[in-house]
Amino acid sequence: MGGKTDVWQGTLALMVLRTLETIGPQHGYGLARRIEQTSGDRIQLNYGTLYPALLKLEQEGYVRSRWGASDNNRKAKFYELTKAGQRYVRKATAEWEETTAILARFLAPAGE
Amino acid sequence: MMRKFRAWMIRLFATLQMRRTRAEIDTELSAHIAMSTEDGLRAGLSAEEARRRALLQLGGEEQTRQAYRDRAMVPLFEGIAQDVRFALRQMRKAPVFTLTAVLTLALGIGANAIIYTLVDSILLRPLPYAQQDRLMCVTGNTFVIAPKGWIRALGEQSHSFSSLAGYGDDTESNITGSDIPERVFGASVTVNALDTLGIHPALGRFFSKDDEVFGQDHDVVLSYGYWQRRFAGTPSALGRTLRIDGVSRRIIGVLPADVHFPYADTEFLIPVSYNRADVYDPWNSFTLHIFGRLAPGVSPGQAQAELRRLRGILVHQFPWQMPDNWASDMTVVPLLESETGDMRPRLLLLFGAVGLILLIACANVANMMLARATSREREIAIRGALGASSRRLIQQFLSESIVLGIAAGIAGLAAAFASLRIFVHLLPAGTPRIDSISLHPADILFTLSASVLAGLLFGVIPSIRMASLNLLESLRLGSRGLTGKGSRFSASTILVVAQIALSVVVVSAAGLILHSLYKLSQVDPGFHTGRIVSAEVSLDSAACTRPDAPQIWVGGSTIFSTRGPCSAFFTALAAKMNGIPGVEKAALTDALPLDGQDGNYAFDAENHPRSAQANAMFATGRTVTPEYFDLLGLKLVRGRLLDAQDSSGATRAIVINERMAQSLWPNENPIGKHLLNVVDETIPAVWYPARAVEVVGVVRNTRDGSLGDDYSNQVYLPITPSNTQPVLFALMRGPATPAEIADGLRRAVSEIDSQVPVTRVRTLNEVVASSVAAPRALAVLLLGFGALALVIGAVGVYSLISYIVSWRVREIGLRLALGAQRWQIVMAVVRQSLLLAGSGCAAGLLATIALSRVLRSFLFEVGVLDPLTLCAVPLLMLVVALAAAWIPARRAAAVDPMIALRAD
Repeated sequence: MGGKTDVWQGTLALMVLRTLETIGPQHGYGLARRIEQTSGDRIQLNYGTLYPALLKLEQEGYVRSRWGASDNNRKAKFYELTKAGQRYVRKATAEWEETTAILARFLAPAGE
Repeated sequence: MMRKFRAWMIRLFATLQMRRTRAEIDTELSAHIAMSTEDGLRAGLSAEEARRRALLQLGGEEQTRQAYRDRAMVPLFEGIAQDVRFALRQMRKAPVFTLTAVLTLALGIGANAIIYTLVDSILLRPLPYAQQDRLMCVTGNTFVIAPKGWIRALGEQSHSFSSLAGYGDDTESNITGSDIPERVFGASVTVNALDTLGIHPALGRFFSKDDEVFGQDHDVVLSYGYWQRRFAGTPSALGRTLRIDGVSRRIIGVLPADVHFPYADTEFLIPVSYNRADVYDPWNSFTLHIFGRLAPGVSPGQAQAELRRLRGILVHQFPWQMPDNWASDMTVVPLLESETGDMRPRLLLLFGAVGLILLIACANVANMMLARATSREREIAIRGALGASSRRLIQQFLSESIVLGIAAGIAGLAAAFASLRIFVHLLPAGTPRIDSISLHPADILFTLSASVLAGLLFGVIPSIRMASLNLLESLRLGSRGLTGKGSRFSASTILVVAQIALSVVVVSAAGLILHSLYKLSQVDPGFHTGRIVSAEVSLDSAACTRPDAPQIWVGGSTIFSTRGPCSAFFTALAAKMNGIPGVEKAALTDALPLDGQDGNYAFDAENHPRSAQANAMFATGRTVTPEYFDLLGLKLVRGRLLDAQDSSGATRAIVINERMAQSLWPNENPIGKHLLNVVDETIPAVWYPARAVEVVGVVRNTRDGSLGDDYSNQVYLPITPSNTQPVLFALMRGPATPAEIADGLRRAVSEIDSQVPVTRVRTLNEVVASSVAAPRALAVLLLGFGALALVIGAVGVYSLISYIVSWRVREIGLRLALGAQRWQIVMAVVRQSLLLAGSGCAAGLLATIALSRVLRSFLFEVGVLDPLTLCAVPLLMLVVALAAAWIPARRAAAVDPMIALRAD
């Protein structure tokens, strides 16, 4: 396998929401950088896919956006989590932990 | 689920705000790239490399933008919205074209919207009854009305109807209550009629079985409108008493607001009751129309078969023997269909006409678009060269024409909405359901669909042509060739010829119907109408009977064996009428000529023995005062007219018309022959010499029913004390104006009895005119549509010819330079126009003849091959073609060869 991992389908949304929950309102570029940093630069994010994903979450009501100014005083769109988004993160996190726990049992070295 | 829906709605909304959505996406992405590039610079990359990395990391600017847009909006709608925007821009760029096209189409669509609204309101919209499609009207081959006993017997035996009911004619009655008397229309219904309809009272209750008992039937149900008007809609009206024709009736209920039953102007309903003491009572009054509700799962055909079977059994319940052919066939048709009657073919004819007009308008706009396509060849060629597929181009052009169609649809709908009342006003007064005519959502939907369809129709030819242009040639030539190529106009020529042909069909139909209306108006009604005023004088129907006098049925209307005060009233009135200032002659009758309300006189005639199984003969019967003949100018042919002695009842005199004399006693002297009225016979075909009347005179024929009908048998009986009807028409002639005469009559009436209303004052000319109201309305509407077709057709010819001329300016210039005369140029243009008109006319006349089966039933004494119409219409088209060619021909003749040849 290569050094860096592509983002799996479906997990990007959770990463985005979880990141927004941690750092608060952020613009798209900042969010992308932060996701890469969080992964310890182990995932290579195709930034282009981030925007449609963000938009989908917004259309479904998990995030909302507003225009603001970036650090360099540039007009940028800032995304933040909604109440529904927070609930979703909690639920999805629990499910994800459940799934990984189950998988971990299967993948654990045999005979222990 | 909700979140998915929410997402779709947001995307749809964003599509509508496409420009803004796109701008926001661009801003966000460029901010992203800028920030990414700055980070790169900070990391020590060169400006160029930093930007390259930023774009790489994004996965390509354009790709990302597209993916982002696709998620933000609905891609399919995005394309459509783009096309619509483009179309609107194109329309703004060519305002004259747009205005002409939209206007032409809007006329066609508006006409369609109006006629469809009429068709929908009158023919299609369901009646306001539960499961109204299960309600059927029952008619017989020999009757439309039947006695109540027959309906009851059928209803008891039939399994295919869950209930059978009847309703009577719409008759006007005097209603007196607290205040002024008024004349109000009402009808009698069987007690189960309203339940059969499946309606519920707005207030109170409907009739019960108790109302069926003679003597306990003094109840009345009011229409919603009358309840509102007379009682201001107060619930306390229930239980109050109305005096209807002298009978006190208790108000027990009110019909729902949307129910007008059985007739549009019926204001009250009274129950049909049975007099148990009289065995003849259920059978001797033929007054009720039959309708019923089909039992579940039964088809109209099955019900009809059952009724035909039951007839053979039940006919023996009559207390006398009925003729063999009476009700020997019965027909079951949906109630809605039977109510709309002869309005149906007329409306469908009009609908066909406006359909053709829309086609004409479509052909027109298609031609205009073809012409425009030529001027857009370069634009199209460039777009094709830049990679637009021909499918994309066609979609683009179709969007343009659909946008055009919808714009015209909205304009047409607005015009229809504004003018609907005018069209309703043009319809004859008796049109069924005329009160409920209104523009419903369904009609708007129809109009808009028709607009879109029209857009597709006129867009498809130009679109295909434009998309299949030879790109290379267009780009290379860059401008018009020296000569116009013949083939380039072939599609346009076909369209214009078709357009003229369709116009000819509409105009010919209008012409034929106009001609037959003229023929109809030339028909001699057989009596004078000039300066004659008629008015209805109505006593309570009880005025002709003493209280509790038994009723007898004669000649389709009630007369009474013992007479009340009505005879004295009318005798006094007849005497007073002659004294009205400005009245020279005056008469009374129970039926106006050509009013459509004639009585039936069933009779046996001397020397014409009838078998018991055969029907009696019929004549149109009216009772008159002796002055009637002179007043209407009815010429005596033989014998004598009625006189004062006949009016006293001392004689048994009757006057018949020529046709009746001819058919009964050809080559014999009819004077002194005898007739016997047979309607109340209990034993058929028995001759009672003591009751027979004697023919004393023969008068000229007059028209009955309508001007278009053949002459029928007619009899005139004197108004005598024993047969005076409670409602008579006063006829007066004199130099005074109708208003003065009516005032005089009112005074004369109130001097005798101040409670008696005088209504429906009309001149006899108006009575006759209203008998042709329906064909006249049809002719007026068709003429209007014919003119519309003509105008649109003329615009079509004009635009094609002027387009051809403008295309050939160079050729014309060259010809002129080579020595052609200007009149030759003019002739060439005119010839082209005439050729178009000629071929269109030929095709159109052929089509009209092919449609003769449709048209024939609307015509009176005019064949489809009417020489007048067949000559006038082509002549008219030639004039139109000349007029349409005039301006282009002048322009062609004015071409300056020097300028024309030097131009581009």
